[in-house]
Amino acid sequence: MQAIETHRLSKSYGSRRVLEGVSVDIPTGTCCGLLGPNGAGKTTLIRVLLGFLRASHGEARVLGQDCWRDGPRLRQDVGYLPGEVRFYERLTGARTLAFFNAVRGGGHTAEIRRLAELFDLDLSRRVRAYSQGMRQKLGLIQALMHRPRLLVLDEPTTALDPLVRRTLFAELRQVSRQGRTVLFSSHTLAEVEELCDEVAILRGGRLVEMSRVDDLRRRAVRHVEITFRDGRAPIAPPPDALRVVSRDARHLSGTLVGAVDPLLAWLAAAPVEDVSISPPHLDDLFMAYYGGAEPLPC
Amino acid sequence: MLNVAILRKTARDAAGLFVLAVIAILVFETMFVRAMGEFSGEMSQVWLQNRLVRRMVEMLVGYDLASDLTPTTLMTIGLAHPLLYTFQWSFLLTVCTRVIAGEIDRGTADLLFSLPVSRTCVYVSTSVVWLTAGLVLAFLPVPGIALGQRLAPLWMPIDLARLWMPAVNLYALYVAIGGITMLVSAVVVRRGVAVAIPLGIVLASEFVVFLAHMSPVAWQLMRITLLYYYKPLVVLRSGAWPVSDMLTLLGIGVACWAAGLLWLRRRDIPAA
Repeated sequence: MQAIETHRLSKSYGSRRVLEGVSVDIPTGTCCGLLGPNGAGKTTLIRVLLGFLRASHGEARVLGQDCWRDGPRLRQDVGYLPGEVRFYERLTGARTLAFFNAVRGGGHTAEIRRLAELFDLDLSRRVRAYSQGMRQKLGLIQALMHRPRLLVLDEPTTALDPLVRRTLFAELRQVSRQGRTVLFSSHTLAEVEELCDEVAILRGGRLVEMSRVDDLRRRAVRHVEITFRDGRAPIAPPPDALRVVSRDARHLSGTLVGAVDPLLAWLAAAPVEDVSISPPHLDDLFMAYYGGAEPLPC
Repeated sequence: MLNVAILRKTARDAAGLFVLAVIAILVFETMFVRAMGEFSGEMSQVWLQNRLVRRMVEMLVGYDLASDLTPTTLMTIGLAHPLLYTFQWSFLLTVCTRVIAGEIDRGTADLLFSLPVSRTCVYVSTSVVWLTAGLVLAFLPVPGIALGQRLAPLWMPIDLARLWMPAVNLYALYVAIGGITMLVSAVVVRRGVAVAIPLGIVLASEFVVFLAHMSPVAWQLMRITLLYYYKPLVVLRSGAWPVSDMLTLLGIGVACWAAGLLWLRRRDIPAA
């Protein structure tokens, strides 16, 4: 079953198109990263999925239900953390969560306590006295407290210190292991790479990539540096996957896309003094999407 | 249609202002009776011979008071006084704009509307609070006047039973303003605008009614103002329920409220 399905989804404000023909399928139990530069349409897509915005064209279904028509019912199973989370300033953290708990029908007090301990948040203080990081923790607790089947987090690590970030990631991995789905919006590649198994990349309101992170890694660039013994470079041409950037009799530097086997086979027959092959870097691939250049070949 | 948690939160948020409005109205009406008690019937008659005062009173209560002055008719000033309006309307505008426009403006709408409740439910739950509170605020001037009469009796007893009729009419006016405010609050995204538009409408209404006794143009325009349909002295004099006036006000209120609900159900909720 798909947790999120959109088909040719578009959203316009007058003549300005914010989303254009976005079709995504995110299976249940996946942790999916939603990547894109500022203004790519990530937040708009999330707001359509939650029923805040009405799609101009196309369809959007969450947990098998129509996002616009079945909003209240489907939100029973959705936890959401907005990009800029705001609370009722006069309430304490505990009263805030009690309100959300009551609107959701109650019964989540034990989970609230567990999450407050996990994130080390003092719920007795008023929200107005909270720091930005504490507000973010409160937002995470309200999103997680009812153990939703789908968790939608818009830039959740904003204002979190590295320790809390690690705790959050561990919790999200646990959520994913339980067969629940996480949609994690970010513009930080490293976070998505660390946490997610799928990634959707938006640019200019369009979906430009939807892949498993492992597949992307296979397509990612490795930087290769080779030093040949006694300046005796091999006569055989290098494998096609290796794009040579600079070469002389002693050194070769280039980038490798795809499997390393052909390179290793080529090197085995060469008088190699030293070789370094970097881990696959998704950055170059993503910068190509972000910057508007053609992505690297598969 | 109704969520108890939202209802309770809205009521709790409004409680402080409600208590202040209740105290203010009670104190004002009591003091008003006391102030009126300082005039004798004859003195009041003389006072009301002043042309400017007569005009101003006429503007407030919708009729020339001097021609039929009794303690009971005198009390209609207390039922149409700008201070009473201020107490009632400031509560009304605050509560009606807090949830939709206010939530969007503050950015808390993102969390509120991500909860498993429909927009209709949020709208109705909020409306129950101001409609219920309005019953108290609209009828409170009568007990306030009763209290004032007890503390400082006038030259003749006030017929309190007759004052309930303009009070019901006052509630209809409250509903009309509330309905308009809910509509505006459902349409705009800034709370300041949501307050300013209905406030502008009622102030313009007061201004036109005031000018109506001096300008034929304003007299013509008066029919399209809200305050035209609230004339406490006329109601007291006739002793008949102002059914058409109340239905007009309730009609405006219900129509605007329903339009606001329809708009809210269809509109986008923008990020703050």
